[in-house]
Amino acid sequence: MYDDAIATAAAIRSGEVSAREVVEDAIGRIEKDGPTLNAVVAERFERALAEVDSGLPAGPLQGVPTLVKDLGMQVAGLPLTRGSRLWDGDVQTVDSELVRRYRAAGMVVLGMTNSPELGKNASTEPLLHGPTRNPWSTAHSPGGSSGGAAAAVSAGLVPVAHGNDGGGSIRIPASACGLFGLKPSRGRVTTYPVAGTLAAPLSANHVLTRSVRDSALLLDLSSFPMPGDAFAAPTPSSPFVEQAATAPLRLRIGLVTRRADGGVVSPEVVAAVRRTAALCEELGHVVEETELAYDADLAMSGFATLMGVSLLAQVQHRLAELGRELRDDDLEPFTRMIHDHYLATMTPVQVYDANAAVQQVGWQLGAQLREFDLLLTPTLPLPVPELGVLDTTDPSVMWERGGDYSSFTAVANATGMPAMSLPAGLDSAGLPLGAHVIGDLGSEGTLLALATQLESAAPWETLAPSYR
Amino acid sequence: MAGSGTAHLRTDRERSLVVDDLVVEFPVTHGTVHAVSGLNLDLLPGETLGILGESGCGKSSAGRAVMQLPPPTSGSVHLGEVELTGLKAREMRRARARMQLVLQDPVSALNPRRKVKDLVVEGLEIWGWAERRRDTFVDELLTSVGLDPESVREKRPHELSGGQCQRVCIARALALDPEVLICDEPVSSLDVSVQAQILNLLEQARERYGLSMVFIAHDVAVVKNISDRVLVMYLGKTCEVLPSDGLERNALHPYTRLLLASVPSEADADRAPAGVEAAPGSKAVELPSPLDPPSGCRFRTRCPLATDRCAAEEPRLRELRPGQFVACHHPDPTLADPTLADPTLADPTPEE
Ligand SMILES: Nc1ncnc2c1ncn2[C@@H]1O[C@H](COP(=O)(O)OP(=O)(O)OP(=O)(O)O)[C@@H](O)[C@H]1O
Ligand code: SF4
Ligand SMILES: [Mg+2]
Repeated sequence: MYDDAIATAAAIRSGEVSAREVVEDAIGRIEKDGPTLNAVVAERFERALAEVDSGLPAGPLQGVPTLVKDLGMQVAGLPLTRGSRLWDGDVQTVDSELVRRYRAAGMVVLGMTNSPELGKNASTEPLLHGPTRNPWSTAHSPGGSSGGAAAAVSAGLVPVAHGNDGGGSIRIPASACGLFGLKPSRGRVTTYPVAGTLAAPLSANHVLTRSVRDSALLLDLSSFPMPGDAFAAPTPSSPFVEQAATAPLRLRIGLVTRRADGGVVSPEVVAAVRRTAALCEELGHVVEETELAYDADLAMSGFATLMGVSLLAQVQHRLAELGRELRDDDLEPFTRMIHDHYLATMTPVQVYDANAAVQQVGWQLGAQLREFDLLLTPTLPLPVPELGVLDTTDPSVMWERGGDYSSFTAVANATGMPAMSLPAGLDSAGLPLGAHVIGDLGSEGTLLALATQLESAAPWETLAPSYR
Repeated sequence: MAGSGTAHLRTDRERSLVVDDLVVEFPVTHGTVHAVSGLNLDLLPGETLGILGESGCGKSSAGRAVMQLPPPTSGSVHLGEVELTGLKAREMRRARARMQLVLQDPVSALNPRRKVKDLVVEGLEIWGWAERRRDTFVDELLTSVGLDPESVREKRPHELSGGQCQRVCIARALALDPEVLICDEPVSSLDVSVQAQILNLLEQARERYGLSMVFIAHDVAVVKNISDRVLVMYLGKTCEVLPSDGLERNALHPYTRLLLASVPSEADADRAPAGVEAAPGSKAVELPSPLDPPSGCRFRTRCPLATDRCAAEEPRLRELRPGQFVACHHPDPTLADPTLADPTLADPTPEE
């Protein structure tokens, strides 16, 4: 096994190993560790091997195996269940544009990774597929909603895996599994052919990786705009790989240890982000303590409404497709509760106001990003929870705890700003902690450059201990 | 404050010259020429600061205002401990002697009717200092600027070459034992072959007399060679202040990069000499009018990276690398001369 996707592709190119050997090795790992971790929920091993045998596109990641999340992206021939019984067996007929770009880069899609129902949880324990386990400790959650992807990468099943992030769903599992996770700018990665719901501007697709350079390269390979995309991120001045490899200029970094919503932040988590801040200072950056300067209530109400209205639309379209009414066992209790709540209360004006609210929050945080180039916060305010803590069968628990785990991350979704989580040491239980960095729209290059600098100053373990 | 920031000033060091928020405006019939709009700079003892910028950006206006010839519209100039603005005529003359100006056109700077031996001590005569040692002193001075006293002592300016005239001007400036020498395009009117000699002479003089120097020019190569630190000006504002070591590689401001891009490369140098006539930015559009400079960042009308923010908000100097200060909202570390970039850095697939 190689350190990352770029190293894997280089080994294949040099003839040290064949693409078939690499893909077979990944399949072997998924077959061996898959059942314990429950990271992979659909596979296409035979077809993947046939693709390898018939010749892969000569892209820069030729022969690198990968997995796509069971939410938001389509792989032809595989079901897209969205972690929901309502979509069980919804087999796709075409690849999403992003999947097509992965393939054009030479990557081989082996299957789909587990997601909580419609991504509505910071843990990955859908009733349909059961919980994914954290490779660092099987009693713990891998985070969510890209928890299957995070578990697969941190257990070394594949070097990189696709994820998406509508409230922290790339960054939270990256933090929980000790990986690098970048949520790109709004509009950076096309969702074609799935036209955006109102949630589309909030969520972004990219990958969870072991190295920063893999994330940069995959962003270059997958982020050029699709003609007609409704949102477009600022064009990068140079390729992301180049930006990632160039030492950043002296950055003004605002260090945040308190939540905008005033909720609890564990001292272990604060200590970890302070260590990252100290490292940034050692590297010559200017770090200054600050508080997040946006209206947390406004952000939450706008965000929740946009997510709620998109949930309503998705469910209604699915029911229309199936030609039936909603049944009691279609949705998990928590999803059902949100669904029914919004169905009863949602007004058109509320949707209008929600769009205005996220724009206001964008300007509020944007003003702070004049003073600071980047904002550094914890990724999760609390240590990684055990499985069962975020229990979607108990709506009252989810209502109470659900917002905790995305309290630092969701604002980047509301504003469309790029943000990343990078490993920041371990907690007292030996599980990974993450440092979260937000930049203004279009600043992925700066984020990647800082990440590379931190990665080489204090390299992190990229695999969970029992998978090294 | 009207300037583009003071982050580059070294307030914790001993400085021979400090210029604060210098503004030079010229009232004209149809408004006001904003020649220099809030320039801040300082000079350490023995240091050479290069001021670089294309024609009309306000370099000479700044240099003259520092000398109080004429005094600036506003702002202050400290020479050592002495604040020059508002000095009485006699004190001003005394202070000015500690700071000497060397100009672009040496021939017209010299009185055509006087002989070299008189010209070099003109400044001293005003003070009545040099009566006794006059002849030996003149010969020493002429020797120190590389002239043979025997052959030039009795000559008048028209009998000398441009380079020799500039040597006389430099000797004249050195005669007053100044602390600061302000050179405004001192080699621009000279043949390329003579330029290097004069630059060497200035460099030697700086070392020998412990001078600090402000060296104004529009030629990147000239400024870079002689300076410790370079300040890049555009339309009366400071864009970037950076060490001259590694300038081509490190420059970050889009305007500095434009200046560098218009310097003939090694390959072009065979065809056309890197002459002073190759005006930087000559390929680019006209300089906007200093009567009505653009809002926000003055460079924005020519900047490939300009955004709305650049029109709305003036960028301030920020230290982006140790010792490098840039006034730009969108500095980009990957914007370097591609021919200088380390190719291994950009290789996404290093074989390891
Ligand atoms: N006495 C004056 N009256 C009106 N405008 C003036 C005067 N002196 C200079 N200017 C104007 O001020 C601006 C700055 O001129 P300045 O001579 O300082 O530029 P510079 O950088 O030295 O240019 P060059 O490289 O051509 O010497 C120009 O627009 C110039 O036309
Ligand atoms: S501030 Fe804007 S216009 Fe000015 S140099 Fe920078 S990018 Fe260009
Ligand atoms: Mg001039």
